[in-house]
Amino acid sequence: MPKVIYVSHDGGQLEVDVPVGTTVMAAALKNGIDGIVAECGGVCMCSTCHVFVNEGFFSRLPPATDTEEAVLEIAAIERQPNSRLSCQIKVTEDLEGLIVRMPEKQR
Amino acid sequence: MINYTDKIPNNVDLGRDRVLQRALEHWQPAYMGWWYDMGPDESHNYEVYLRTAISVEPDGWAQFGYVKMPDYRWGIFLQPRDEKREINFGMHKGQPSWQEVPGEYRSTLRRVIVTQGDTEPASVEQQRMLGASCPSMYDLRNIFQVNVEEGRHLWAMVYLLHRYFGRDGREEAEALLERRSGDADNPRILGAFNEPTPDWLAFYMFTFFTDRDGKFQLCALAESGFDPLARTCRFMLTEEAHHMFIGETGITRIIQRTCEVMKEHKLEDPADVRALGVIDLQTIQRYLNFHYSVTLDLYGSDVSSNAANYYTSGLKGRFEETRISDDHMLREAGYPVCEVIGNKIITKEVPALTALNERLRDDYIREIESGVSRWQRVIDKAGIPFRLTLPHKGFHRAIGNFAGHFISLTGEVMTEEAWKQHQFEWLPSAKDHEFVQSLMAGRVVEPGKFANWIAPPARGINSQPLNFEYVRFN
Repeated sequence: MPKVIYVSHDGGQLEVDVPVGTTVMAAALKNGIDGIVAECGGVCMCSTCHVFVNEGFFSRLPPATDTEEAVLEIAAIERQPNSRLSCQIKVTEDLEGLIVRMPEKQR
Repeated sequence: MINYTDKIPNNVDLGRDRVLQRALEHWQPAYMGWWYDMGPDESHNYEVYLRTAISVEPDGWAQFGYVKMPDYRWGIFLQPRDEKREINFGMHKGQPSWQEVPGEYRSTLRRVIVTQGDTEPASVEQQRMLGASCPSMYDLRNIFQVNVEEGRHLWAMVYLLHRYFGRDGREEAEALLERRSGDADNPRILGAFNEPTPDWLAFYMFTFFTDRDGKFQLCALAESGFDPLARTCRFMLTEEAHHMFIGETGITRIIQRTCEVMKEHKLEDPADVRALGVIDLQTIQRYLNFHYSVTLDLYGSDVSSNAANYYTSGLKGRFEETRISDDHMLREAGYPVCEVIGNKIITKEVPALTALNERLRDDYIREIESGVSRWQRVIDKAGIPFRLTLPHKGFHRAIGNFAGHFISLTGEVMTEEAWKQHQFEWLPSAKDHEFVQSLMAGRVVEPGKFANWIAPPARGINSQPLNFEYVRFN
């Protein structure tokens, strides 16, 4: 099972084994990770699961859809070039060791 | 998956309860009658590119296609049940969540559900004339999406009334279709839902400020010990998030367009800005002041024994109750509330249990501050020296400890006479409304075209281009 590393705003890290096909958001909620809220339940409507994806992994992700791009514009912390919504990142074997950093706030 | 061949699409196994099904099928024509009378004006034959929920799971949530709004499949969708869910606060903390209404809380719960339910058709009524002045086909499609989903939220509450409250519930469900926003004789229950939404600036303010109140109320109800209410509200939050997105981006686009014009023509005077057919930032600020203050009232009295009872009984929790680290009983805790004494505003600590309305209002304010700071970014990026600000919490309040007092934008206690001298510096005047509406004299519906007073969005809906035909007028 691929590992995903969640890094909180203050630098704390948590490694989670995530089944392939699960979203980074869903795995965060299941493991009680505080920095991801997912208010809309993971349907790309709210931007409260915003994460910054580590450089090495960002280019390996499928590109964001227009809807995701639009929703990222209302993120509580201004989006960066490596911003994604974690509800739109499905974990694959290729993403073993994926590192996502969570913003200071989600709302 | 939701079965869309059912007369009433649902994921609550409605077919197994024939009595309930018949009762809802009896209510359905009355609902359709209300939609034809009070839904978006002259829209019934339009085909609108709408999103419809096909399952409550993230993957199957949204299906896009052309729908005539009277044919929209309003249905009953609850988040899946968690068999192990417990009541997380109040005197019943740790007990299994209720699948039926406890007798002792029946009338209180019914009132809570009716009050929430009443806001849903109210906002459709408030917005029903806006199609005639829409700034683009994209925006027209968006308001229709909001309207059909508010209609679905009404269905969500009516299901609870019919399923769990018998005859009383059925009567309340009928009354939800009889009250009218702004009606002198039979108004909607809450004040803000009787205010007109006369133009698109007001619509976007409403969806940013007032729909966000809806979100916070739904979040508090999603913590309820009454599990069907919690699961219903959880699903409604998905749709509410989209409404707030429409509101926030709508205001962002208006500000962006104003800033573009100000920058291009090197203008700052509001009269000069208005002369170029965009909404000056000062008017936007006044609308913000109005919608913010009216929405703050929706949270109710700062100190409330009703709110305390709802909490202690396990009916309505706090925002993110399960993420809060405390005893979830609030036996000893205090909370600060404001009070006006003479010509000063003082802060005093009261039992947290009685200050739950105030706490929810404060949670809301924090999120609003964040949104306003995003609008400010647009102004800052344009290099325009203007700051959008939130008024003091006591400004223009009609409910709670500030009611009856005259508080300035910055929190000074004033006399009524002095306050009224500034009223139209702070709140939109009839002339402001007249100006804003003059910009919206007709609708803009050519695909890909946008009214002069609003910037196009960065992207279309569901990866469609901006010049997509989002509404077919037939």
